[in-house]
Amino acid sequence: MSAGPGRCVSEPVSWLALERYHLGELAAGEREAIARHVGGCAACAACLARIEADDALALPPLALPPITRSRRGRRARLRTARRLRETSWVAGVGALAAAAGLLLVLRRGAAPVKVGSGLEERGGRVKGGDVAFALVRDDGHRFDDGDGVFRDGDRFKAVVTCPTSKRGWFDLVVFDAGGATFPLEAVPGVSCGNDVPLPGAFRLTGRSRESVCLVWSDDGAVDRTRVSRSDLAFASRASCKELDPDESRAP
Amino acid sequence: MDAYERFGRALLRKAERMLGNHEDAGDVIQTLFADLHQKTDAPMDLPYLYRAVTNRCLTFLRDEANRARLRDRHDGALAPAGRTSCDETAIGRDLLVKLVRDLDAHESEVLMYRYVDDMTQEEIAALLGLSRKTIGKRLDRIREAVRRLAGTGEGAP
Repeated sequence: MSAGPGRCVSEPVSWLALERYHLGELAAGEREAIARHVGGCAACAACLARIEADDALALPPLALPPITRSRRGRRARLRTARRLRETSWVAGVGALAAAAGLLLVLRRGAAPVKVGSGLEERGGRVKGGDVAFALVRDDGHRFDDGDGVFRDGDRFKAVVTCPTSKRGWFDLVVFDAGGATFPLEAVPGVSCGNDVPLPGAFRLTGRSRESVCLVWSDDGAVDRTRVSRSDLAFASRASCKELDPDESRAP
Repeated sequence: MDAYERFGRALLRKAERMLGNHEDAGDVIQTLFADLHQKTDAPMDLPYLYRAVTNRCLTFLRDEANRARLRDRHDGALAPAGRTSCDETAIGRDLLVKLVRDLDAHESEVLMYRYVDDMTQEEIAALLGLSRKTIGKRLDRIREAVRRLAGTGEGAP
């Protein structure tokens, strides 16, 4: 199909409905209605034909990490570790190893990345082990450690503590089932200190667990593209906090 | 993973329509299932996974660097303009990407369901668990943004 499927004779059958039709997930009445429509609509018939044609194609192999079975209090660190290990899945595990080796070469001989370890200190840059961050809710409640709870709509600021006279590039990323979002403006070249607030604030909404991570780099802005792919290794370092929805405080 | 075998192709097609790029669509699907693998309680039905893919692709599209890369690598055959009924105008891909930048997260999600996945208001309402009236209001704001952006000549279809 090299061009758009064109105009439907009435209301198009959605791709989701066509997919479910193809998978045999629809009730008899819905199936009959779609079959009737597709029989008289070239545009929708072309879409269904495309779905059917894909059946002959093999899916790329799925590379899954081992399931993390850890105590809740350690989940933030372990999740960070998992993400540090994850990169693009398409190329497979072998390509991952090769890419990791290439990265080390490109980083001009820097020490291998260690999960939970700090940055290599260069020219007054911030060391990873010296970085701490906290989330401060609007009512002043402070989350210093790994876990916490939030109510739908709670507003937070992030504060960073790192040694004075050092500098680093910081960004905040929130991971949830929908992927990664960056609620604050990226902060270039921050001068360290105690509880240095990152500009802006953000809200957590919904009723699912959120992983809020501070990511930082010692050699330039954090690469959001790679962070979005849960590839925190490229962002240099990260520290995460797990926040669960507080059902007891739900509105 | 059974869900990947059953729904993988449908989700890959969905991501390709949104991103217009096979490799990035594959990355989105792989990372989705890797994350789902850690969540044993996640629902594994197609509507839920469709939403998850939609939100992940929107996150991807909001990143300026990703958008620039997709412009260079866009494969029109993977992301054709949506089918339209006789009284509706198709939204071109350039405009679609600009709209994602212009609209909020809720509106962007509805935008994709309506203009990329060709869903009706009723289907979108059912998928999101919202009223048809709410979806209608969001579509009104989307059409207003389309007029505004198309009026300035930005990515007019």
